[in-house]
Amino acid sequence: MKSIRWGGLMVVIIMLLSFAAALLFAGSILKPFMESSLTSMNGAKVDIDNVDVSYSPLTVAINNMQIADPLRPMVNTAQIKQIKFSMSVVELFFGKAIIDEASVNGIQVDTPRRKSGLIKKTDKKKEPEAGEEKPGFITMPEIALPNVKEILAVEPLLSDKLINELEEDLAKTESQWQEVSGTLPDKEKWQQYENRYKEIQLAAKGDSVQKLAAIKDAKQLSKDLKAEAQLVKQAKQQLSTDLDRLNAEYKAAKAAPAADIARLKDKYNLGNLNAENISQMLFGEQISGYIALAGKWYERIEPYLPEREQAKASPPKVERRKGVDVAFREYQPRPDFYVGVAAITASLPRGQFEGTATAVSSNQRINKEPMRLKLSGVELTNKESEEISAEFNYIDKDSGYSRFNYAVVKSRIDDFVLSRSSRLPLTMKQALMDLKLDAKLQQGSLSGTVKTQFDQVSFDSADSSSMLASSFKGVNSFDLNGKFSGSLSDLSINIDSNLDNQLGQQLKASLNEKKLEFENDLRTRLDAKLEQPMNKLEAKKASLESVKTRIDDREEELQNRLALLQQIIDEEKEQKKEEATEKLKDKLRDKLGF
Amino acid sequence: MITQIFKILRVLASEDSPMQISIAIALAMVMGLTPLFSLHNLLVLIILLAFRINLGAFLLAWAFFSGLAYLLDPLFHSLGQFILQHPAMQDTWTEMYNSTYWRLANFNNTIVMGSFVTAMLAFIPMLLILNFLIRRYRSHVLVFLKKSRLVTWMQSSKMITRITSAME
Repeated sequence: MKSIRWGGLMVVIIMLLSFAAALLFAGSILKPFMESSLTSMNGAKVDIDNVDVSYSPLTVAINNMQIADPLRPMVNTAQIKQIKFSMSVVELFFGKAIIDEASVNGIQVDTPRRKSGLIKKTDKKKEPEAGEEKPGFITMPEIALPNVKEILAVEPLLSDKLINELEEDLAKTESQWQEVSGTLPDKEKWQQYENRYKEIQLAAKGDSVQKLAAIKDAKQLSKDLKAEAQLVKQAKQQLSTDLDRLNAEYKAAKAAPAADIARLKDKYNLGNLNAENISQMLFGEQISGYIALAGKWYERIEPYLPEREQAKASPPKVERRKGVDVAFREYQPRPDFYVGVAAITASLPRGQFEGTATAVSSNQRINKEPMRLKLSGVELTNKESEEISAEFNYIDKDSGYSRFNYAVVKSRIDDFVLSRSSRLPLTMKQALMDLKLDAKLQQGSLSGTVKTQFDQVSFDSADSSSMLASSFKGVNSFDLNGKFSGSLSDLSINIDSNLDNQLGQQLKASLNEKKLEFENDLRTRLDAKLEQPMNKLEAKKASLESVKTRIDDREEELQNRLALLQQIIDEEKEQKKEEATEKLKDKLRDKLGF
Repeated sequence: MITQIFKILRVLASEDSPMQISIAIALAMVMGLTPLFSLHNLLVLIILLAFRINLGAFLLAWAFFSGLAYLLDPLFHSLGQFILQHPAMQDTWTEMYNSTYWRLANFNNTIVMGSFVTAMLAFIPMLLILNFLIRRYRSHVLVFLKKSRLVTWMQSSKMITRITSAME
């Protein structure tokens, strides 16, 4: 007993009692330690109301954990009512947190904070609001129809040009024909020919001397009339050529308004409007936004995924006074952190969710099972079902991947702003949506598909006069499928939707109607503009036609007269021939004595 | 340095038995050579507090062996690595690795193993040698010194007392 130091023994007892007291108040000791560690991991404050620790089995309950959003310090990214788990004390001595069962209850997102969660000042960039027009984004097509009156005032018309040319040509031709018609036999001259003809007719009934004179006159008159006929023929030929040319010019002038309409329609882009890429314009940005948000969340959880931990592993470095821990085979290998099953309940604005996270591990190569997360909606508002599932499989470091699936059935959409563009302000007033998203992230590359079906759709646009906006009114349902691939920072998204076709058809019908309206208006205005000059041209053309008729009449008359004169000459010739024959017969009879 | 010498002399001249001083120095060797926050050092601390062991000798020796451990650190690492990776011992280490107590003892650390083995191997010889040396010191050197005029003068001199207390 002499060798025992009683004072020292008391110190040992006091130390043991202090240790026991520390165990009793472990919760209060752990709370600041946990807050500080989680805050440094999160980049913004993490507050905990209290931590309860009980022993046998060792159970830790973390109550009301508020995780501040580093970008919005007055908002909690998540607020968790309680995280409760039981740990293996034995494994804890090995430096391992092995949790067979855990529960994470009452997760809420985006809850307001009383105090700022900022731990250091960060530069905040103002993010543009959804739907706001951004530079570089596809612009909405201009579908407004131009004003016909303004077009006619500024556009040079082919009709005008051709009518003017025809008018000039007609005037020139008309004056030429005035001159030509002056050289043609007039009434007086024609009367002279008539008188001469009548004299010949009288002389032809006289004696032989008179008859001879008549023949001579008839020949002369025929010669004169032939010369006149030649003149008339030449004039007629010239007139025909001129009339043909003028008719061709007239035809061209008459067809010019149609050509003008076609050209103006083409110029003012009324021919090839379609609704291609409208769905890409409307939904591409929304989908990109959601993927960017998912990417942001992924970046925040990525450091805690097993892959990152494995990447960090490096050959042990010998530090002075620390040495190296040599690892031996474990009979039941466990990772440093492992949660077998965690039951999760969350109260989100979209409804109540329940689910599980299984095999949450800091090193999947040890426990050889992927981490899985599954959440299903149980009390949902405005939708039939909603499921989120994810798998983080990094058992094999080289082929490790994260897979995400999301499915929602009959989700009601109200007043969803699709575009705030000044050209097409568009809101989806109501719709029922089915959506299925499958995404896989492997070696930094994201790929996946999204399939969406919208039913009972009604669109609303602030600009009801817009033709494109009114085309949306005829759409009751449509599908929207997307494929995306690439890195998170440079993702390529292809969207395919039958909305484009539907809108295209609607747009085509509306456009055809408008085009017809435009065409009719253009035609009416052109007709009104060209009516007067065309009438004038018609009159001039008619006047030339009358000249031609007159020449034709004259020619006919001349030909008739010439025929009659020829008849007189021929009759006279026949008579003379008969007389000569009779004379010869008489002479022969006398000589022969018949 | 002079202070340390005076302290050692004072410890050696104290009323504690040679074994108490020897145990103190041997335990200080264990705690000094091995990493401080090891499970076996908790046992050393409890022994130190619970039993009448010369604390002065312990503290002096602990400081000395801590410095020595820093110099011998690479040696301990190599020795620990050799022992832990020795093929003949693998089954034993694997068995111990799967035991909670041994894992808490951090036996699989090269420095812990190397320094602990060194300390354990040196413990008994150190204890016996020190015990023998202290006994010899007390029966020969200390008796001689006590009788010498120099020590008598020093013990009577107020000046020396002041210097030593100031140095302390």
